[in-house]
Amino acid sequence: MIKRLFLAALITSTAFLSSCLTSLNRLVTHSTVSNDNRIAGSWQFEDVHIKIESIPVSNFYKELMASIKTKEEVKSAFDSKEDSILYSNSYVAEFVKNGYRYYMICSQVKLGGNLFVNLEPVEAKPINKTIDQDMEELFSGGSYMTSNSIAKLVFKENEIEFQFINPDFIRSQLKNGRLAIKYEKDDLFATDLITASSLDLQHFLAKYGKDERLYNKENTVILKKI
Amino acid sequence: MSSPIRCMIIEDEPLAQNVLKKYIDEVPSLGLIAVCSNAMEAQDIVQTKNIQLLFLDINLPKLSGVNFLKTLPDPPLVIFTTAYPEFAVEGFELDAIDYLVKPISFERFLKAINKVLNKKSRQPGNLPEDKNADDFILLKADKKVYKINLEDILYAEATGDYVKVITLEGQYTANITLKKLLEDLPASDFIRVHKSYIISASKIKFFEGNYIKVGQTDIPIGAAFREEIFSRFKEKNI
Amino acid sequence: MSARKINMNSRNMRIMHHILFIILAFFILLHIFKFNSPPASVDYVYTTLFLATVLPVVYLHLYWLLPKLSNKPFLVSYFIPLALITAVSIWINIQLFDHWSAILFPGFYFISYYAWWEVSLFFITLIVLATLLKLSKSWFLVNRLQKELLEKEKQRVQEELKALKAQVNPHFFFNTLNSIYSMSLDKDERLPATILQLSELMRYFLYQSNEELVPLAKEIEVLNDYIALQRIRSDEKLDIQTVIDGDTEQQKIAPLLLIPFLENSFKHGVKGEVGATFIKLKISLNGNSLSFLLENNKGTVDAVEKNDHKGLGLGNVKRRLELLYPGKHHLKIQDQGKDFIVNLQMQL
Repeated sequence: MIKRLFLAALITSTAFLSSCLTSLNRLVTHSTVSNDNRIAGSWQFEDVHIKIESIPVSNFYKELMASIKTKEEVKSAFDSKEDSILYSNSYVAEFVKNGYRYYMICSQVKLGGNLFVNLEPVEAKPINKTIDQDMEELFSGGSYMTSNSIAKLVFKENEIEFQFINPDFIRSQLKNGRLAIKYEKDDLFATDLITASSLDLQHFLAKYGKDERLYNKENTVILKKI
Repeated sequence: MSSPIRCMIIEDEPLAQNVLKKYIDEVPSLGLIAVCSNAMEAQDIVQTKNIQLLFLDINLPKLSGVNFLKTLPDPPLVIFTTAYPEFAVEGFELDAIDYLVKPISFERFLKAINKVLNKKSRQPGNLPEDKNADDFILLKADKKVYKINLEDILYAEATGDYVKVITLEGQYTANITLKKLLEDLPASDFIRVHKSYIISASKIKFFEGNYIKVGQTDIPIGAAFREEIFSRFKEKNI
Repeated sequence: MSARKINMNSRNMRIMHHILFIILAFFILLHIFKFNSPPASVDYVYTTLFLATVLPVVYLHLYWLLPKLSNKPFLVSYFIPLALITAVSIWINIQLFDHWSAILFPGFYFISYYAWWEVSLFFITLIVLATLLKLSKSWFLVNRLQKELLEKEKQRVQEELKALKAQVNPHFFFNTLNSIYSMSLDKDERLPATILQLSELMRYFLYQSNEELVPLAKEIEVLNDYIALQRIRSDEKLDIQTVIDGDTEQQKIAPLLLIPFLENSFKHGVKGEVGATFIKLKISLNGNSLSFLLENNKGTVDAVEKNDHKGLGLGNVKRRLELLYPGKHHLKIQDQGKDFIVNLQMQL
């Protein structure tokens, strides 16, 4: 569990941020998913080129369909009907960093007048197949736990701002007993896993999504349109 | 014939005095010497007039009957007559012969007198030759009070509600129960041999089977009394 | 302990019970709501707010609706109001956590974690619990009151029995019967009248003495019977004078207030002296003012009566006068001089 968490956190952090707040459950559910097309397109962040497409038309989907036919191994993400509805309305971000190609599913939801996105890493595959076997399919084996990150989306002219929730703020509020949300603490790796249900997460952001203290510059990622 | 017993009444209510006066009148062996309505008056008379039997009320003015009795150095025989039943125990502790509660019936009065007579006949002062003369009981029969000498009695028979007392002189029909009569007779001389018979031990002629010959009559022995009779006579060596 | 003090004590007890209940509910809910052990400040705030929305319903139910349960129609006067206030409070509860708490407690972050039906369950549980507690308290109270009532009733009956026993002085009756017996032996012509007087007296003692008030004329008549019966028991040296003055027909008096004084006169005065004895009785009535003057010679009698046959007793009469005619009577007993004098003035 820890190892996998670490890896999940690693992905997000190597991709974007120095530290991260992860949630066990997705923010977005099939009944609340919002489909805002403005997220789709080609974007640049620092030296990484990111392509975001609607899942049904994406490479990721094509590859996935292909792999199912051949291996008969169904990724748990597509087990249920609800999930297929959810993914049909979600987007996938594809990018390469440090020799790995990453897929992250982006699901959007409107809460309390703001748009939020749930980021769920689903694959990290080495580009050249020279790297170790056990690093190859990081998320295969079927028994990994999804972890999600949450950010507020602000669309600007040719820019998307991903305002990730500030983990230090959350951590300090948790430590001071001012935040009531289900979570699990792991001091060793300085990670906190939010274990609140999707519904609770939605309620939370519907109510507190506007609170500026949840976000800061260090945790905001700006993608520029290419 | 011995002289009548010298009696005194100490009673403050005139009507109550009246009752006792009448009763004493009916009984030949009693003689009324004095009547007082309080204890102070009586003090002198008890000593000077040689009173043998005292009819004493308890609720008297100034000095109660009980306390008065305690002051007497050599008290006579006492019968308490009172409306207060609660002093009976104290009364008997003072060796009263009897404790009569008002209103007193004549039968009850007579029973108390028989107790007095029983007691008197056992007093050490009596000489043997006087003994027989004093041995009698009082029995109310035919609206009269008879004095019956104990040595004249043969036996008594219960008939219905009455008791026939057969003596050498004749017979008397008394309105009394056999049980009560037995209480009045000295136990050493009179035995109940049957549910309906009391006999005088001294008049037994002989035993024959289930009968005892008393005088001229055969008296049956009751099953319940058999054992007691035989053990008693074995002791007496008759 | 005065009645006010008792009331305050039981009120304080009730407040204590309520405080205990609220504290207990608070801690149980806190334990349920907390996200981690030990509970954090946000848990306390959350629980307090939650409780603040539940308690009004609980208490409204206990003190306003529950008493109405026995009313008909039960549905309209109990059930519908209950459902209404519960629904409103649940709504307030959810609104509070989803929206208002951010304004009230800006430093804390929490939402409503339960769906409306889960919240209703909390509400219903607390309402039922509070009701059960109150009912069981009432049950204990009723039990205790019942026991007290039974005890008081038993006491009252025993007192009445004692009083009744005390009223009928058996010695008086037996002595009188003895007098009657004596008269019958002589065929005394006083006999029939005496028997009637005794039967009147007994009837009065046994029946009328239970009533609150009797006609004053009746009490005086019985008084005269009593004197007559006592007179035949005494000797000719007793001098009795009775004077009744005024209109006694209209007035009423509590029974057996006057006779004890006479009983006392005969018992201690007449019976207590050898030689000449006397009793002087004067009753005057002026409107509803009664004047009762009784004088007799002093005497001494050895303490013959045991306590339970003390009869009516002067102490008993004094107490009854205080209870029945408070501030409306004046009793003066003179024991110092050569005679014994009772002076009773009272408003009937």
